[in-house]
Amino acid sequence: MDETPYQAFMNALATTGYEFAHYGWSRAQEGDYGVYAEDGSEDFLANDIHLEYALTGTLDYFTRDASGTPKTTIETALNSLGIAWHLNSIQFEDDTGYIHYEWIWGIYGQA
Amino acid sequence: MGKRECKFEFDGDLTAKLGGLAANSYSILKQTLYPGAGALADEIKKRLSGHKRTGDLADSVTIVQMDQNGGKVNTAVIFAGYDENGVPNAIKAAVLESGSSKQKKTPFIRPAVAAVRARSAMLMQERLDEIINAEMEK
Repeated sequence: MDETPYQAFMNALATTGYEFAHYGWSRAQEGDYGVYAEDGSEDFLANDIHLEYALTGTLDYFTRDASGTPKTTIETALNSLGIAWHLNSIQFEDDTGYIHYEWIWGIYGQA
Repeated sequence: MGKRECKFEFDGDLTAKLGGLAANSYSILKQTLYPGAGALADEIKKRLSGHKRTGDLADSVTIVQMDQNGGKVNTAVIFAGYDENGVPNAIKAAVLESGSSKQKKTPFIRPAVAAVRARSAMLMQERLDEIINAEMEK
């Protein structure tokens, strides 16, 4: 069975070599880590029937690597999928030293 | 051969009514925007209501005063004011929306926008139709 676009998304994240969790971690993280989560849909409806499905969600990566390499690596993986995505914010946490990258994505199909 | 023509003509009353709409265009646009912005504000408040610690944040959701500039009319839905500790509600909303390494993110603004986009457009169209119909029936 062919992988779904969502499975392809998860597999692409795995190819980066970075750690990612779905929705969140059950323990505090010391090193660099990422989190991905679905949070909505952008389905196409006609006559109140969902004719096409699309998932939307977020991808966050927390790193203390200021070189930009993680950002480039993750965005290269996203580009390899041909999905819709954009970098929504980059935030620096004074108290932890983390650089927090946040992407918004949209994937055709269901989870 | 007799002259054959079909004449089309608007009477002065219709012209005056259309002129009245044009003269009040800013007011009409402002009245039109409110239901759209209101739907978004309501949806954001609804999504915040599930968070016990964010009652104040829900109360801070505000539709700012309409602004008109260069033929455009606009407004915005914002998180106004500060909490009891002096933290801007806008910052609290951003942290909740995007999360941090210490707080799990809970997106509620972007999903709210997606959820009400079509309904907001419909409500604004309905309001505009009401205003125009009322003007034309005077």
